[in-house]
Amino acid sequence: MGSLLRAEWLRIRRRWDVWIIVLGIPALALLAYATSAHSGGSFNVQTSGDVPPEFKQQIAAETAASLALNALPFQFPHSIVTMVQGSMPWLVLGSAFLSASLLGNEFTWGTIRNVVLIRPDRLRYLSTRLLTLGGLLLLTFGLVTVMGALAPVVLRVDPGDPSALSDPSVLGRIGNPVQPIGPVSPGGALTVAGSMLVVAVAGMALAGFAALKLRSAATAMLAAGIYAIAEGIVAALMMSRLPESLRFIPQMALTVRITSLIQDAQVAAGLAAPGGGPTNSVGWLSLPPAVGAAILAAWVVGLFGLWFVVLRRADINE
Amino acid sequence: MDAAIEVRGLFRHFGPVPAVDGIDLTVPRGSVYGFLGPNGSGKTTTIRLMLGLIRPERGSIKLFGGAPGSVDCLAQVGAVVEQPAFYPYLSAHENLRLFATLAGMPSTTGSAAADRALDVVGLSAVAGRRVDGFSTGMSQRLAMALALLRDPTLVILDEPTNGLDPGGVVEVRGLIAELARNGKTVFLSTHVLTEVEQLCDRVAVLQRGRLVADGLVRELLERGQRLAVAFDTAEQAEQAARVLDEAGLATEPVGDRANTLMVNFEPRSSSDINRLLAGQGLYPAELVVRRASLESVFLDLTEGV
Repeated sequence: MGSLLRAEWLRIRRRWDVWIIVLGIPALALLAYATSAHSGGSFNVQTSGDVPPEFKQQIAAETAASLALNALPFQFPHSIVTMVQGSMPWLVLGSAFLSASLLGNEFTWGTIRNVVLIRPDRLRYLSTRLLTLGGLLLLTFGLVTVMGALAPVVLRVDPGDPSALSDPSVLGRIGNPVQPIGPVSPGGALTVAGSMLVVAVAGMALAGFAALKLRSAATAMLAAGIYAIAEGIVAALMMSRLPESLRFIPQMALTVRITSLIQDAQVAAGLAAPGGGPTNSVGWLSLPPAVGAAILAAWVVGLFGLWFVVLRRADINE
Repeated sequence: MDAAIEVRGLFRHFGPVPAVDGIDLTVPRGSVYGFLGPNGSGKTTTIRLMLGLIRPERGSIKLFGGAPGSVDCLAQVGAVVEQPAFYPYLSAHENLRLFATLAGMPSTTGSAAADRALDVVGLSAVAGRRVDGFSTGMSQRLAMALALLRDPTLVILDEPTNGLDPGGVVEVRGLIAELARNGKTVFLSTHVLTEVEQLCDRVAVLQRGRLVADGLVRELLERGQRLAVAFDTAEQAEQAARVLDEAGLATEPVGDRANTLMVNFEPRSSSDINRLLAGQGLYPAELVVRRASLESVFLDLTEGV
């Protein structure tokens, strides 16, 4: 395994696309965070003419509460969620690309043939590739998470007066009425961030399976994207059309489980209220979070399992 | 016979057409074995089956007595299969070093093996260049270097001179001859007949997935040889043709030379023919064995099969 890992390092160390993804995603997340943080610390209310004193008081309370609310995502540990959330689309796309590229290009370049001739144990080779991909994803995710933890020190956003958020006069008047407003715990922040990591892993598993099956990185990305979109549409259609007894079927869909996982994590962290998000969709049946997570885990394990089945049986015609 | 490769009843089809249809082969250790066949005859598929890259539907393959695609067998095998395949963003040396690492060689040993292999194929001067800038010929040489990286006992080469300039072709042929001198077994798939004639001691001819000939190159060439029998007069040649025809030997006239016959005399010897004709009072003025070219034998074997 040691020589396989050393070979992996020799293989990826000069691949600029890999390092652009691994370092570019945290850079993009930081840029998005910095831009939001810049505007997060300000809140202005413009008034014209004479404002009655009781309204002035109300405006001052709402301004203080809004300032505190806008600053919340940039306070530790909520800043981790903000940073990871900002990188989420890139993280999912990036992990899918890495997977499709590192697996699919072996077929496109024909190097899989040399690999199999020198190291015929295909399953061990694929396990090492999976470890490499996992390592790259963890490195990217780790950088984003650490940046999220450190960002409040470097890009400081005045937290304002957090007690203004609990002022009875502003309750229900600022922010999302169904969303709890308040600081998140470190455990809650890591739960939400972790759910996004799981989504990235699912993207990696799907794109990798497509790459091994289709033997091309570009075709795999396209196929995985089309599958995700098509599955989402079909699931939504089924949820609105199927009788209630059969609505569990679309609930099994990968894209549905991904959306639910993030929603469940946000609810668990106190960042979203139960019943919000996708559960508003027509025909939605909420599954217990543990059941939903188990279905998603089955998807991910199943897709990774298919990697091994496909490569073990594959004729190497390259 | 101590075999490097032993193939029995090999069968594999793609779609409705069998690519390899019941092949039996025995490649002795230390031989240079030519594998001839027109394009699409199943040569590359056979090689892929031998290397365990694809699996047969029927039949068995043994490399040094072991299963194809097993670690122990492949450790003794170096192969060039069709187009060279390398990581385009790495240099020639980095590519070889990577594969040496994959083969389990420690870093310094792998690097030295890469240097040695590049030197053997004449690529030392461009060892640090990225392979995506390599010409077809350079890539082909690099593929040879990869095949030789682990100092294999058996070298399987699939069209190794493809894309090489005349100088490169001569070098690669020299390299194959050198491998043979060093006691390596070389399995050379090609459709360049001169390559087989120059380098191989044994040859198999494949046509539409079936083996149509297998044996020593010398024997194959003898199979196609004919006897030119010249007489003083055309009348004698006509009489000789009748005699030979009655003896079941095919003859044909030679162009505008009415006094000469070409006799397909296998399996008899030229002295048998001479004796047969002399018995009828016909004394040839000249008897010359015309050795067939591998090209004509190959065409005879592969046309109309």
